[in-house]
Amino acid sequence: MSELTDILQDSVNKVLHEKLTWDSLKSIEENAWSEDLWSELNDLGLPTLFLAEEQGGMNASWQDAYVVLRACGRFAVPIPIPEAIIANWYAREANIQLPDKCWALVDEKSIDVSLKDVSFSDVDVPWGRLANYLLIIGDNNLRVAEVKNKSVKKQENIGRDPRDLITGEGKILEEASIDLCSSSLLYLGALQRSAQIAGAASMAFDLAVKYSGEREQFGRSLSKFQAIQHYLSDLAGLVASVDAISLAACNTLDSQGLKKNSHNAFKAIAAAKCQSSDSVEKISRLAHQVHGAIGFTYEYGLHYVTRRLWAWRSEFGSSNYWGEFLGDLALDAGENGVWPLITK
Amino acid sequence: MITSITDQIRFQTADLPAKAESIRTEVRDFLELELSRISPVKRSHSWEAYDPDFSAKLGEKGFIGMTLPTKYGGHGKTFLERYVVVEECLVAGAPTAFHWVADRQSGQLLVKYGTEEQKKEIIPKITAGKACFAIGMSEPNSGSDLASLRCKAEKTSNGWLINGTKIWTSNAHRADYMIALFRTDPDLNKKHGGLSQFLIDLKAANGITPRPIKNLAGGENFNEVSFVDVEIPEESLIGPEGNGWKQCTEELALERSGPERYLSCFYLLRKLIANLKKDCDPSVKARLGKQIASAITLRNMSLSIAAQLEDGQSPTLPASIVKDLGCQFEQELPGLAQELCELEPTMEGIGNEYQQVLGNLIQVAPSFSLRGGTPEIMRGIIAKGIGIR
Repeated sequence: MSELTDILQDSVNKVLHEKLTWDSLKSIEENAWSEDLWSELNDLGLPTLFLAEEQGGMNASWQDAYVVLRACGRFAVPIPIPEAIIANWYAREANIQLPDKCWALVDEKSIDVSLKDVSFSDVDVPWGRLANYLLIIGDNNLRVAEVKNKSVKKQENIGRDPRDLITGEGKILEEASIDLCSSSLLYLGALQRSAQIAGAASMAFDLAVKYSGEREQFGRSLSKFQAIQHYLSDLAGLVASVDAISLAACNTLDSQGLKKNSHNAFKAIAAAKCQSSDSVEKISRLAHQVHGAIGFTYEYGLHYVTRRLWAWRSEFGSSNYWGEFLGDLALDAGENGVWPLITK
Repeated sequence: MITSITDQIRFQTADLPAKAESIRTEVRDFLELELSRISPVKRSHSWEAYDPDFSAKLGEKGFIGMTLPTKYGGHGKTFLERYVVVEECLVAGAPTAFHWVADRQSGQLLVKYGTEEQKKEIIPKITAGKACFAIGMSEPNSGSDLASLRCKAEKTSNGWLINGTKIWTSNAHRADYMIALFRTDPDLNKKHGGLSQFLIDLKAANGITPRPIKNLAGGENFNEVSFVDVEIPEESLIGPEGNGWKQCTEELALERSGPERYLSCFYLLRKLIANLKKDCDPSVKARLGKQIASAITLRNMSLSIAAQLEDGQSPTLPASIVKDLGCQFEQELPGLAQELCELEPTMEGIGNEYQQVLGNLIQVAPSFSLRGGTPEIMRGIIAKGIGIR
């Protein structure tokens, strides 16, 4: 771990812990946006952490960014900070500077692009209702477009985070070439969600441990029952494994990049999202079971993380999607190649 | 909550240093050559397959006792270099049972607690792959509750007198040595404090009778071992009297932290892949891929533990987590194979290699969660580690 990792881990968790109480999450859920939170986290420099120091960034690695993405999951951050972090990573790769609040990432295949203009219809953009810019990701280039004549179909995922469909036009403000693999947005989205799942899972686990120590039945705290201890031990292992594989994928991305031939990075991200998505089912089930009925209420905030776990599990590829991806790799590698596939 | 309990159980990503990675090709080449003569079923037994000739050859190559000090004939290498050799042996289905215990824990224990004479005599034999060790822990009435054991060692004028029975002792009927835990203080209230560890030369001592116990698959690996008035010399005591529990715990940390806790069935996974079509149903691919994702995850965690050991830490909690998860992973592989491939499991000599390997591993897989500490015990350790017990 780098020094930056430690600093980010401490500072980000502290701020998010203060800002994102259950009350504030409830209020943001009702209003769908908190300008205060957006400004505060921007002031901390989180969206631009990948940028060079002379550009006001932290020159962060993916392993550094991981602790922030994980914290965003842990505290159910209800604004597009992770998306903004990814957007700025693209900006660093393309060596351009993004306009303020440019977090809406779209694959060029999902919109119509001509030389200077774009048009789009029902394109899926998180927080699309607030997007003034689109960052259009192509295989070889990156374009920033200003959005005009936008109409929005407001939608939410079950985490209550906006997943809007937007229709409109745009004017390309900037274009730069990048050297990345195709579907880079899918890979990065999958990695982002894995990190968020690791964070949300850690909160579900901590809440379960805390509650089991406080709640008494039959004259002793729940945590003294062996059945509950085994649930919590199971949870600890699952949470630790999701964390381990997501961090490992960041490590691989740091060393391999996301170029056309970064096969180990593709594999590592696939393993991370497959494993984390697969673990969500058991993690959420156990965390709720330990909580009993109180965990099923809106007032008790376990749902802020478990609803997001269920949503993130499906976004950017399910465990089946990435499982099939890895299954193909294994079958191609064959009997003698499957172990080298794992150790590479 | 600002901090998470999981902050204490993070598996930092560990990369193998170049000098560890560079051994891999040499190991693979050696194994490919040596294992071609060994049957698929024997290979699928992996670290439970006993083959003194193979162990001697592996020892000749310098791949046993790698981390033991050069002063006593060890190779003075790192845990991470040894890790590469061990994982390559496991996935190749190398028959490593003869030297397994000696290489994994007995050598380490002797280096730390043995007498100078024991080290000079025994460590070179271990390193050469010519010493087979058995572990004398469980007893007929002391399984998971190990500290309740009753087998006793009484001090005599010139040594120790052993009486009692050990059980589930792998290879006791053919091993050279046993490192065993006996009660040296008859006061049962002093549970842990009354226990001491001893080194027994099985070829020299009289009064020891191992009776192999046939397992459900027909194999005879483990034994019931009776000790009747067995006299062993004074210097057989390993470490201080009454320190046995602590030493045993250190041994168990080595026993529980290695890659064999998730790779016991990997040979089957390879044979399964050889028997699935590349254009098989997407649902089959997805299920196979999930298993690959788990394998990648477990290897990362297992490697992280090896790096912690190399760092001089004692990662009891992380090792228990990996053993628990790893055991689930390897134990579900035979059942998964049956779901994904229509070929039936067969007895040795019937059907193709995959079918024979599957037939064997289905039968022996129940033992995976019994050896080296059950999941119930592992979860108890984890519960303690996360502060609820």
